[in-house]
Amino acid sequence: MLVHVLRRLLQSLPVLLFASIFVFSILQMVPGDPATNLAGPDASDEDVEIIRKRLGLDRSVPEQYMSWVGNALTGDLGTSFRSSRPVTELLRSALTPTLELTLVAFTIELVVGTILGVMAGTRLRSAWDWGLSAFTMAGIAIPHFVLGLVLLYFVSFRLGWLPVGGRVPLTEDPIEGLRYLILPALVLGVTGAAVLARFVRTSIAQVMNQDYIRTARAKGLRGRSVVIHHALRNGLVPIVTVIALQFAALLTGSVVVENVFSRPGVGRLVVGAIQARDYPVVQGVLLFLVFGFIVINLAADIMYGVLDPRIRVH
Amino acid sequence: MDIEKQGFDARLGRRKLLTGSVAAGVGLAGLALAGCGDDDDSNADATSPANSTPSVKVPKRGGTLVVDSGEPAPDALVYAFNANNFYLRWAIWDGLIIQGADNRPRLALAEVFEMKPDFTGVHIKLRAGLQFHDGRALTADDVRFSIETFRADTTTSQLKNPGKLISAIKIVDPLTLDITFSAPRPFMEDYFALLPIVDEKTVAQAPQMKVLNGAGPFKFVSYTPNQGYVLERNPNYWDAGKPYIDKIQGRIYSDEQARTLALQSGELMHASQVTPAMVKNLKSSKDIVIGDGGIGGSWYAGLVVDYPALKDTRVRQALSLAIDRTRIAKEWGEGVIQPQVLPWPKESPAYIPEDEALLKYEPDRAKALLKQAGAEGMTIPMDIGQSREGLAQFVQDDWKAIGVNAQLNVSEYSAYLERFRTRKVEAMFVSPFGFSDNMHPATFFDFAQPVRIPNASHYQPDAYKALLAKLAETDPRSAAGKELLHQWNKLYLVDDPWMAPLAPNNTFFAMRKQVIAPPDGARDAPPLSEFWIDA
Amino acid sequence: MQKTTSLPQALELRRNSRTRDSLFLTTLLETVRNPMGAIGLFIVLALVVVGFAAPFIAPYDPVDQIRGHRLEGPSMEFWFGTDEFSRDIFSRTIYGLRASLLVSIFAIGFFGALGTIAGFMAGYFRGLLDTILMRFVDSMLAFPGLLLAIAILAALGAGIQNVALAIGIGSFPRFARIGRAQMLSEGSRDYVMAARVTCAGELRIIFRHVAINALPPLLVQGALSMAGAILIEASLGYLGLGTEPPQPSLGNLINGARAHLDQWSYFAFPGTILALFLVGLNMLADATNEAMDPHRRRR
Repeated sequence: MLVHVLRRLLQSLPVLLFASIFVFSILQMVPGDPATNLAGPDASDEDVEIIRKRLGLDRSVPEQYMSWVGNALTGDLGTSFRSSRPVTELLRSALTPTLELTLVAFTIELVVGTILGVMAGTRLRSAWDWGLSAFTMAGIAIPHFVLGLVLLYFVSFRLGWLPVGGRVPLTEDPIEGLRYLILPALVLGVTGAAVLARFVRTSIAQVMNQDYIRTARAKGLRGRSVVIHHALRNGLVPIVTVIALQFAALLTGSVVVENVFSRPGVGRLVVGAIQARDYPVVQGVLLFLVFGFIVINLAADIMYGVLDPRIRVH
Repeated sequence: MDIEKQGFDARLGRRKLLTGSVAAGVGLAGLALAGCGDDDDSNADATSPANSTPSVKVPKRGGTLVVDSGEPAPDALVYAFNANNFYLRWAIWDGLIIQGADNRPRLALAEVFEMKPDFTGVHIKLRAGLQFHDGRALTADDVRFSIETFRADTTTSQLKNPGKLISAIKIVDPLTLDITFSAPRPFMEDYFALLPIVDEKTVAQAPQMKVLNGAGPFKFVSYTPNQGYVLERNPNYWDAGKPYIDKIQGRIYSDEQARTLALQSGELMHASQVTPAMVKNLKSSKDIVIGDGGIGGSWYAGLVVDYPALKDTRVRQALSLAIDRTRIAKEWGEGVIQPQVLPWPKESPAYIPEDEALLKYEPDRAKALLKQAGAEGMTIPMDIGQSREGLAQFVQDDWKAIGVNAQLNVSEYSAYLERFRTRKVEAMFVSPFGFSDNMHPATFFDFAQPVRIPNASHYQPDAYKALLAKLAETDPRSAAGKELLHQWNKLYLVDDPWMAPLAPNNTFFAMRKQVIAPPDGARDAPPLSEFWIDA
Repeated sequence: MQKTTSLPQALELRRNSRTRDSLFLTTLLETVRNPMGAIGLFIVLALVVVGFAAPFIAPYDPVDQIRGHRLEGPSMEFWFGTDEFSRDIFSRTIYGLRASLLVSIFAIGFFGALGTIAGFMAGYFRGLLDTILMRFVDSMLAFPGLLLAIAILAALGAGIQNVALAIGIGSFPRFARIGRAQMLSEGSRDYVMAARVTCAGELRIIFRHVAINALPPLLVQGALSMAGAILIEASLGYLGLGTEPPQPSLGNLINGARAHLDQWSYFAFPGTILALFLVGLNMLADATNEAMDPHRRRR
């Protein structure tokens, strides 16, 4: 097991290398100059040159890349052009709000998605099933920002129940923190729940049709017990992969949701950095996201093994 | 999304910063929505209590002011003007003087500030007992240090060029300085009003925004990127009894809609960088007072004079004549701005009312000029930075009416910015310029693109260079100054346009009714020390 | 990965090409027989027709500013009202639909095919090509699609072609994966082996046998990716990137409406069309998925 994990992590090294070269070269292709961004539209050429030098942008591109990789290997992701703070520090402070958001959204997604999916999957073509279809369709079809804007307008503004934007850390004041968190998490979670519910429905439906379930039923087991003890466990196996992918999707979704709800976080950090051409931050955060993606996938594979021992062998 | 709009538009937004304070002062004076005549009735309720307050009510101590100004630009915090740093900069650092709303300096850290009658130098005496937030005494050495810092070759301060006009700094005693300029420079008052007095030990750390030390009314507590900052009252402020407010909380919202909603719901109490569209949405709220900071520059369409199709002056004249500025003010400006072709506010000494008539909306003449030049039916590319496409589409439609097809090339703001700054825009562009508010015109002619040389329009005839040089040395209040300004107006509006004015760039403020900002506030900085909350 | 055919079926296919065609047709027929599929297909087709017929249906030129009619609500003259530039929102919505359709069809059609072929190659030849391609695909999959699109758009500038390119590049890896998996699972089957033995040309094998069988799952992925593409296009519009004004797209229409939430029709109509189209695509994908699955078809 440990060997397997280590081997997988080792295999991810080329992916990280690819990704870092990819990010680096895209940034080089993107027009726009970090120094000009800092200096402003009316800055003189000399001033911009001074900034370029200070940021180390006067070196050749391969030179910049090598020194960046060298530092990254020692855990130093560089310093933000814009805020002069270390990228690792910015990342750390942005990660907490994003994890907060995604975990709450993820919980909503798991609970709502699984319940709805199982309900519909065990009662194919019933009113439940159609109701779920309607919900999932709506969930999938309404873009995050549209749902977010509508909720923001009605719940926060018209009704004045919840704040318009910002964040209070959950650790500081759980109740107040939750007030800031609930709408963004809901927007993010509902879409995810819709996607998940659909997969659960299909998976459960397939399992329910298997011989062993029929056997269990024939033996006289009641519906709910069959679902809980047999269908759910086996039906969940393929779903684990979906969940892993969904978690990654949540991170993507948070880019938009954090912007709609003015929440600090990784999404806003990276979009802001792209727009300001804050190269070290863009590189550092994207690389971190890629690494996170790899780890989540690995975790999903391990979960696979736990749920279905037959897979563990290979 | 509008992160862009706030974060970067704001870089161009120094004009907003520079004008801003007027509004802060002005909003209270009931000026709400100057130039918004028909809305007076609807606003009467909102403004009248504020209207009467300054004379009657006694300022109250205490309270937290929740403000919003977009994500700060840490790198530009001390060295450059950025509208997103609006509150931070003027809360933490004070200057020697502040430009007053009446276009005359008011004393801040300086007790005496005497410009020599021939504008060749200034005599400064600091107030006694000044100290930085960390308790260190502020002396003449700190003034000299600040001047040197902002003009050092290694900095990129916008104060660098004017700072280099200082030829000698003589420290008479710890509180007294005599400063000499290399030539008569009437606009140096602006320089001192914009120069923050910084602390030698901590200024290098400013971009990190962890330790910020100044002598302003508020002390820095903390800053979290994408979230906000906290400032608290400086109990040792030189202006005894001030500031009135205990705490300033800066909140960063990601877009205009969120800021509008936050103001309406009361989550935000004061906002700068309020756009005409926001004004339109906010003015119906009874709890919100809108302040009009007045004109701080212009939106214009830049015309690259060496682009083949634009080489002919008549073509450029036609393009400028074809713009329906009344419609732009009414629709793009949501009726809260008034059409104007001159970049100055009406109360500026540089504003010449008669010159306003130099350029009118004359589509027929524009067509005739195009015909003469043989340029009918031409297609020209127009470079647009993201979030500017709204204004550009009005222009595009006006030009379509005279048979000119402007092809909008919208690019992400940073990409546009680079082309603009390196003067690589192909043919036309839409941008705002600033520095034309109550400051000395020379500051404008020295700083603003595409007015100064070199510029993105590639406009640099020798005669123009000579005109700019003369403008830099002349007092705009003098007859000679007026004549030079008239020449400049005539040049860009009529004779040889290299930019077509589109709309004045007004600065609006919005605040909750209970926020009181005195009308006699300074013009280059918000009088944060004088804000109070009428709970 | 969904299994498309069972082994006996596949052997039959090898013998009779008409049966092979009919498998595809059967899937299609099953899809339509399912009410969900029928509704989905109807919605998608209707909107596609409306989108492509926009020049004939639209009462106004979508970029024409009709002065004197700014920000008006719905009326007989302007069914969906007018926007802040006095343009007809109805005309802009259907032209915007067309733009979004073009973007997604180009992005998914072109890059989907490219990805599938690359996947086939990787699965067929294996070895170094496979390793390099799949590592590349892995790293691309690890990037959040929206961020990738933002970066690509920043590099290339706005414009409908560039949006399609940005979205297409992002969808390439998914198709490459499906193509590869399909090749791996089908490639080792007897009928392909048989074809190899009978010296049918390698490319012919790929395309005549594997590709046809891979079509249904690819179509499902295609429909889902198209929905994803339209969503990304809309999100890019929300972020202020995307098509070049004054040309409309569903994304920039909704973005424009944000500042005018008090005029409900501005936001509601393009928003509804967008949602309807996404629902249609998802329903279609769902129904096809079900139709492809022999287990569930049996019921």
